[in-house]
Amino acid sequence: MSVVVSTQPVSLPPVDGSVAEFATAFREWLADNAAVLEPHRHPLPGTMAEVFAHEQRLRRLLWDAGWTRSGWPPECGGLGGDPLLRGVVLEELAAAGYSIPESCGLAEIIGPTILHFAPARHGELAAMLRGDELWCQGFSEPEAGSDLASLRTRATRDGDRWILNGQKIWTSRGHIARRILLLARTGTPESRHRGLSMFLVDLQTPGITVRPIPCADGREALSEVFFSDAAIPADALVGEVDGGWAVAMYLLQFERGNFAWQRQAWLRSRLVAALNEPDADADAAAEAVGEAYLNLLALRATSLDTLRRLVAGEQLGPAISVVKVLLSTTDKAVLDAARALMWPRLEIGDEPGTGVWRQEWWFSRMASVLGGTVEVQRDIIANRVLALPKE
Amino acid sequence: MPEMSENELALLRESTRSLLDSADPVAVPGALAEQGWLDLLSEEPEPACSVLFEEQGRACAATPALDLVVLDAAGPVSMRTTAVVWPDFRRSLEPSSRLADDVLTVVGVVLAGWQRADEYLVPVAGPGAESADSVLVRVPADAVTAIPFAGLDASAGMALVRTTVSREAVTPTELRWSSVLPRAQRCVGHELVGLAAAVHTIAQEHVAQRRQFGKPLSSLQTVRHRLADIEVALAAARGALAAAWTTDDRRVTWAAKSLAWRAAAAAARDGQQLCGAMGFTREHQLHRFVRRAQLVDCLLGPGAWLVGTLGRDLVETREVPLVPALA
Ligand SMILES: Cc1cc2nc3c(=O)[nH]c(=O)nc-3n(C[C@H](O)[C@H](O)[C@H](O)COP(=O)(O)OP(=O)(O)OC[C@H]3O[C@@H](n4cnc5c(N)ncnc54)[C@H](O)[C@@H]3O)c2cc1C
Repeated sequence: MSVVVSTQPVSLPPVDGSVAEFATAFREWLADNAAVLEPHRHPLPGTMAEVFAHEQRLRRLLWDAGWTRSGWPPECGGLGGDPLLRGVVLEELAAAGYSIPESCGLAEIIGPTILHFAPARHGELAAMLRGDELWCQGFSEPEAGSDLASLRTRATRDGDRWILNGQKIWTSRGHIARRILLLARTGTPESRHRGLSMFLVDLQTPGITVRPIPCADGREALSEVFFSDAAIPADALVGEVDGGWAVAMYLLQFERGNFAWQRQAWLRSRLVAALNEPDADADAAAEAVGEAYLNLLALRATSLDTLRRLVAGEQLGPAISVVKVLLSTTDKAVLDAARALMWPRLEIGDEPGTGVWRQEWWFSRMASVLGGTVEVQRDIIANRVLALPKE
Repeated sequence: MPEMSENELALLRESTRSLLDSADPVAVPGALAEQGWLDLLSEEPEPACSVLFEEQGRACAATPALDLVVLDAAGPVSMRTTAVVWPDFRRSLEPSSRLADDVLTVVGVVLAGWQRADEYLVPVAGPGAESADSVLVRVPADAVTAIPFAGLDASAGMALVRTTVSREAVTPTELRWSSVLPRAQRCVGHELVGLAAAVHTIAQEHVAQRRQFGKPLSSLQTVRHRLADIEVALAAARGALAAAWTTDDRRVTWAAKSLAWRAAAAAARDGQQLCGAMGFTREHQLHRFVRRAQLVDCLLGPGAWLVGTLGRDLVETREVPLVPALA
C-alpha cells in the first residue's frame, strides 16, 4: 500500500521526557494534522478488508511521525521510551475523537509476547506494528473453547520443519491476516497444557486454508483456519517446545490488561459520541448513561493500575480476571446507553451511521465471551484469588 | 506529595484496626487526634481517610469520625466538643438547613456521640439554587434539640435534628459546603467498602465450613461465582474511590460512592443468601453489617439516586471525565 498523504514534518516524539510532555506533544500534533486525520474521525462501515485498508492509512501516519513507535524498543522498529507511552497514544487518539484502529488491539496483545519469547522474530513484528501486516491469534478450536488445554491441532517435528494438521476456529480477522500465532499440540493427546507449543506461522504456507465466518454484526469478523500437512520452518517456534502454555498465559495478561485499557479509552469516546448524537433523548437515557459511567470509571481505574504494573514488568496473576469481568460489563453498559440515547434508531435506522452503532452493539454482546468467558474469569477468581475450598 | 509506601499503609491499617477494636466508638475521634491523625489528614488525605473508614466499616463501628474530616478544615474547633449536623436523608446534595428572616432552621442528622457536643457545625443552604453558595455555621448545642432514632439500625446511635435558632446565636465560618461534601462522600464510600468486605469475608468463611450434599457449599459453582462477583464489585469501588481522590470533578466522587453502595448491596444480598437461614438471625453477626450499610448509604446522596443524577449531568454537558489521568 502506498501512502500518498503526509503530515507536517516534525522532529521525532519526545520519548525520553515525562509522560505528560509526550501527551502534550501528541495532542499538538493531532491538532496540527487535523485535516489529514479527518477521514479517521468515525469508524467506517464496510468489510473487514476495507476497514483494515482504511486503518492502515492512519497507522502509517502515526508510525511515520513516530507516535506508534514510541514505547516499543528499537529491535522491532520502535523509538524506545516508557511502554506507558503506547497507552498515551491510544488514549489521546480516542479522546480527540479519532477511531482507535481495531488492528491495534492485537499489536498490544501479540507484540509484548513476541518481544519476550521470540527475539529472532522482532523484524517481522515491526511489519505488524507498522500496520503493513495483520496478524491473528489461533487458540480456540471446535472442540476446545473454554477448555483450551484440550486442543488437538498437532505440530509434528520432521527434521528441520514442523508439520501442522488440524483446525482453529473463531480466529478474529484470520482471512485477511498474514500470520497466525498458533497454539498446537506437540505432546501426547492426554498431555493437556503440558504438551502445547506456540508457533508464529505464515498463513500463505501451502496446506493452510482460511474460511471467513459471517457474523451477526453483518461482517466477517471471525474465521476458521484449516491445516493439512502444512510444513513450517523449525524457527517458527515461539518459546520452548512444550512451553506453549506459558506463552499463552503471558499473552492473556495483555489480552486482559493492555487491551482493557485500550478498550476503555475507545468506549469512553463512544459514550461521548452517543451523547452528541443529534436526536439524543437525554431524559429517558440518564439512568443508562449514569450506569455506563460507573462501569467506565471502574474499568479505567482498575485497568490503569494493571497497565502500570504490566509496564513495570510485574506478573499479574489471576487478579487480571477482575478487570476482564469489568470489561465485559462495561462494553455492554456503554452500548446500552448509546441505544437508549438514540432509541429507537438502533432498531429501525437504515442510515450508514446507525449501521456502525449496530455493529458495535453486537460486538459489546460478545465481550463476555471473547478472550475467555466471564464464567471462566469467575472460576479463576474463585479458585485463585479467593482460594475457596472445593473439598 | 510523597506517597505512603505499602509498609507504612499496612502499619496505619494495623494501628487503626487496634484502635477501633479497643476504644469506645464515640471516643475514636479524640484518640485519633492524640495519635496525630489530623496531621496525616492534612498531608495525605487519601490514605488517612481510606484506611480509617474502610476499617470502621469492617469493624461495624459507629464512630463520629466523619465529623473529623470537616472539623479539621474548620480550624481551631475542638473535635471532642463540636459535632456536625449532616443534611437529613433526602435525594439532594444541598444542605437541608436554611437561614431566612433572621431564623436558622436546623434540619439534619447527627452521628453517635452527639450528646457530648457543646457546639454544632451546620451546613446551610445558600441563597441561590447552587450549592457553591452554601457555607457552614456554628451554633451552640443548647440551642438545638436532637431526637434519637432507632430505625433499622439503633446501634448507629444517630439522632434527628429539627430546630429553629435565632440569627444572633449563629457564628459564620469560612467553610464552604462544596469543599466539605466530596471528601465526606468519599469517606462514606470507604465505609461502605469496609462493610461489604466484612460481609464478603463472613460469607466466604460460612460456605467453606458449611457442608451439604456431602461437600462444602464452597465447592458449588453458583456459590463460588457469587463470591467472585462481590470481589469484582469491591475492586471496582476501591479503584473508583482512589480515582475520586485525584480530581476536583465531583461526578467522579458520585460514581465512586454509587459503586461503593453497589458493592455493599451485592454483598448484603448475596452474602445473606449464601448464609441461609442463619444469616437472618440475631445470633449471627451478618445483620449488623447489612443494617449499617443501608443506613450509611442514606448519607450525602444515596448510591442508587446518584446514578441518575450523574447521568443527567453527563447528558447535559455531553462530556465524560478522563479520570484517573494516565500522564
Ligand atoms: C468476537 C470474538 C472474537 C474471538 N477471537 C478469537 C481469536 O482471535 N482467537 C481465538 O483463539 N479465539 C477467539 N475467540 C474465541 C473465544 O476465545 C471463545 O469463544 C471462548 O474462549 C469460549 O469458547 P466457546 O465459544 O467454545 O464457548 P464454550 O466454551 O462452549 O462455552 C459456552 C458457554 O458455556 C460456559 N461455560 C463453559 N465452561 C464452563 C465452566 N467450566 N463453568 C461454567 N460455565 C462454563 C461459557 O462461559 C459460555 O457461556 C473469539 C470469540 C469471539 C466471540
